[in-house]
Amino acid sequence: MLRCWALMVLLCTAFSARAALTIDIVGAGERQIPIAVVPFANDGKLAQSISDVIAQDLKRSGIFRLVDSAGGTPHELNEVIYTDWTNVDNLVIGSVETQPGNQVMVKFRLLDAVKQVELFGQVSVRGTNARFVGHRAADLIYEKLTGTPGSFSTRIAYVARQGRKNSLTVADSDGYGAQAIQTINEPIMSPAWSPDGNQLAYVTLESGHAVVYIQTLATTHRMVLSDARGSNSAPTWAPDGKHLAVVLTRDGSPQIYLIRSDGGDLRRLTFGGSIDTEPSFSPDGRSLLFTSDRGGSAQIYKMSLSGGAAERLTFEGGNNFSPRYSPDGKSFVFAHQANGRFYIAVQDFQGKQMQLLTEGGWEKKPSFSPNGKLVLFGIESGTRGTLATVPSDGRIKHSRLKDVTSAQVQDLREPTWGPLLK
Amino acid sequence: MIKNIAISLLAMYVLTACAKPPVAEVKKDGASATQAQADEAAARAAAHAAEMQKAELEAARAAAQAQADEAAARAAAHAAEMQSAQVEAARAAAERAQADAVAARAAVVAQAQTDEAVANAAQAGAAARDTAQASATRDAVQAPAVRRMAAEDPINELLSKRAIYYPTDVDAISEQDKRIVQAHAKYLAEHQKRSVRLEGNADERGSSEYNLALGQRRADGVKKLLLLSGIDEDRIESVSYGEEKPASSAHNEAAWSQNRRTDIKYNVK
Repeated sequence: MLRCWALMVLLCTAFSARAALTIDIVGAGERQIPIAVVPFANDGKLAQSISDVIAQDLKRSGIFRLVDSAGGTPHELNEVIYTDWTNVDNLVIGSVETQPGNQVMVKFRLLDAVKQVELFGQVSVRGTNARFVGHRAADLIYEKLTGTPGSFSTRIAYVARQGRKNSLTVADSDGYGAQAIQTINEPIMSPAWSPDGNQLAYVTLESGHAVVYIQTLATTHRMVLSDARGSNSAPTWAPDGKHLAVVLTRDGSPQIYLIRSDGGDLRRLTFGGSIDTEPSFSPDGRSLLFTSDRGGSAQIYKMSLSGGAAERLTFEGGNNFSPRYSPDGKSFVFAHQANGRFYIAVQDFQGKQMQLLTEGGWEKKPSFSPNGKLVLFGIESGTRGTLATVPSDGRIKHSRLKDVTSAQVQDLREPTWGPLLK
Repeated sequence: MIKNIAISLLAMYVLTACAKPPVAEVKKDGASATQAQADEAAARAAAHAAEMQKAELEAARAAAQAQADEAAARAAAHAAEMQSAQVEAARAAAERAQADAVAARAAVVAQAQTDEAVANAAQAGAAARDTAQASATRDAVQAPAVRRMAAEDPINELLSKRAIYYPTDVDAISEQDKRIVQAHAKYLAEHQKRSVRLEGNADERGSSEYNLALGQRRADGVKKLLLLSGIDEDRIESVSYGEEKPASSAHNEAAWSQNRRTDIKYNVK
């Protein structure tokens, strides 16, 4: 039976990415692909094991089940004895070498242990950052086996708090490699990636009220996007990269406005007397999801940018917050509040059924990975916030991200997943 | 003896009342805020007594009482404050005592009443809408002076309230609290050089963006009422801190009820 299923995966991957995606859904919640990532040759000589980075990425995706390399440690194709690997569907083997200029090169192969063939021949990935090289390799393996591009070699942004100190932080998708790009002694909120991944918009209270800034990562240059009286908040980039939606109170109630990324050409989008906030653009840039209390409680609404009435999308629980479109535009993820707990939930536009992805607690601020397969969010337990990911189909429980820099004292919050790096 | 102290106290406070703006400013940090509140209460009591033009025993005793309350309340606040604030409050108290012999003597008188005042403060804390420490401290400081003046001068009692509290997810001001805002409107109308900053806050439930919006709605609601009372818009600034600057950082309804709040802060000239 298992074999039968595996064969189907193979057949389908041979056809098209779309077909493979269908299989993915069939297997949701039940089956994980057993895979072995054999420790690469020379991997132990590096400070960072690259095969370990690959293995952990695959595991976190929820689609794979890691199997220990019981069949020895082959590094080359001619060292593989397939009959030793009957407990896995797939096998990753390879080697690592260091090159001049602090370069790390990984050469690896992806094998089908059932069909006893190479799924792709030797692939080389090179770079100065060993973990990044591993994430790239994991992306390639993930795409080959699922038909969906991987999102491992992407970055996330979040706010790290320690006492009064707030650091806007950028890290790898697994939480490693964290770097503070802005540190102040006032709250920082609502980081938002530009579509090209080069800039972050965010909000701080450093001038005594909420102001929206845009910071360029490479140069650390920062500009004020909106500093109207009252509160300027909840920035989100339009897919064109030239505009943002922001929430301003300059004309009264918090309402959604469109603004050019240089701060010009302000245009009001919502015209109510209640709270409209947390805008999220559809991938085609034509619609917005947002949170509004116009119906008496905080719920999620959808509106077209070309006008027309907003449609209420959430009805369950007490309140619903923080909607984010999925990258394919077919569903959205949000924070669901019920009975004093916060859950991460998804809902597709067609079926309108809410599905909880987490068991509930203090889970907020979800955002999709660029391939839509994982959801990053913040969990607060006690007084400290941490970050976690969960597959967007809820097939496995969430896993907390390694929190390398924090040493138990930082409070991590407001995570947001960045775009695919070009 | 008591009478002499009381009279000299009265004289001192009349001078103080003339030298200072009638309403002392509430500053940001806890220790000086309680100090300022206490100063304010005493100054107001003294000014009030002077206005009555009956500098007789009764008024003098009232002033002494106010001073005693203040000192006792300071002692209560002192006990309730966190350690760092405690050091600061102690230092401030010591400086005051050194600088002003009369105040020091008054403190001795006050000592006799400390026990009772502490009990009052505890009662006030328990009766207060919540157990959050910062607020309990504030209530403890306000309670004795406010209670005494309530019968005489309700406008001052209302003015001494610098925060509006809200139920969950509500930004409208309760009918009862509208009187507080109106008292501040009256004060602003009578003191054209003063201006206010309204700081809206929300509890941590919801998203940070939604809470920032909610806090702004709360502050703007207070602003709207001041505008309706005829105060110029350029004298009112309304901002929101959302859930980012909680008065109490605990994760329960007791803390949340303290954090659903608009603070009315007079700008320092």
